[in-house]
Amino acid sequence: MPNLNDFLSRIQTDHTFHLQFRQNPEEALAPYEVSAEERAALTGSREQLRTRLGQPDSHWKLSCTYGLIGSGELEFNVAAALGRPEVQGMLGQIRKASTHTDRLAPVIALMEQLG
Amino acid sequence: MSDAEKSSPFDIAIVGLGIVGVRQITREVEETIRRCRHTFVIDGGFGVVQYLKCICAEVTSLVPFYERGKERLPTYRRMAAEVINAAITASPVCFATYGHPLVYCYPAILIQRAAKLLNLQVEAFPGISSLDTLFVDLGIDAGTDGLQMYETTDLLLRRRPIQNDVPCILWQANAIAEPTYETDRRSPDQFLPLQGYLLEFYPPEHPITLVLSKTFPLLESITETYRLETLATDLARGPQSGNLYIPALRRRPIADYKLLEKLTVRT
Repeated sequence: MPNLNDFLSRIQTDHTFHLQFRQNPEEALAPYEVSAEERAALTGSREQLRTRLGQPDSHWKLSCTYGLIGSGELEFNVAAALGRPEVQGMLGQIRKASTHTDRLAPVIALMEQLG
Repeated sequence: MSDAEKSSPFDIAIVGLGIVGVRQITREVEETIRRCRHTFVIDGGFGVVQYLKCICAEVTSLVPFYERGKERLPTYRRMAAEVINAAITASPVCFATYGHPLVYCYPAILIQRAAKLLNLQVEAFPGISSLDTLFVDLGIDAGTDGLQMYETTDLLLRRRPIQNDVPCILWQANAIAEPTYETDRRSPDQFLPLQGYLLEFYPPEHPITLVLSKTFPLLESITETYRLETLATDLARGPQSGNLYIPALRRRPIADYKLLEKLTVRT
């Protein structure tokens, strides 16, 4: 029997089912094996459901514009970057690396030069 | 390699997944992800990673790179490096993030810069941003009085002037002056500089609404309206996330009456 996760996945991908749930939650939930607690979270207060789902962490995608404080340029200057010896050195190491693993360190080093 | 991969016009796709989980992934983004060999994803929405695994052969979540208390900048560099490295090894690859991929997304900035130096082709595809969902949550139209928006730390850092006859959105107020990845509740003291600065432009009783848009179809968005004079305290006890919307203090009067005359002429 499908469970809570199956129900939540379907809610996201099947709009008709979502509307059916909004109109008649009990009927929509009938084919799913959900505990009394889960049922209460789905049909009760949204706070219960929020707790159950967990709020995605919006701290993941935070600004790091302070990383660009040292730059007075409004746009990235490719020519200026390519003119820097340390950048050229890293690009050389990246091109020379023969494996994915060997290449990672110089790519990270390049990122440190870019912002 | 499939025909689609052979004919890919890009080495790296940068895509946005929207705010409400799988529901807001656009057809364009989904089709792009299907054409990539490997998708790197930043999204904690329920079922999102599982869904992406159904449409892309290899999916890697970049979320484990975050470490509480660690500076965000090295984390973002590492994320960008993973994407670039994978693109050099076997393109096309995809960098997918919740919201819009070029709105407050530092790894995307680094990926684009590095790609230019390495002759990698990048194509970006928009996603629904928290700015879009904020308009819906508050029922506002930015066309009426315009809109200004700032990242909160940057607002204070540069003491950017605020035009108080234009609505203002402040992004990421809860991460104010914080370079590390933190999820702990913040204290009112940390928000006092913001409150003090805004008082230079608005009266103490001016309303400010915190908006935290829903991230799952069955949830409801959170909107809480505070008074500027207690903003620091309210933000400290609030949801610790979301953006701030500051309505205009007044409507700017008409200045060009000749133009107004043209607009009001009836034929």
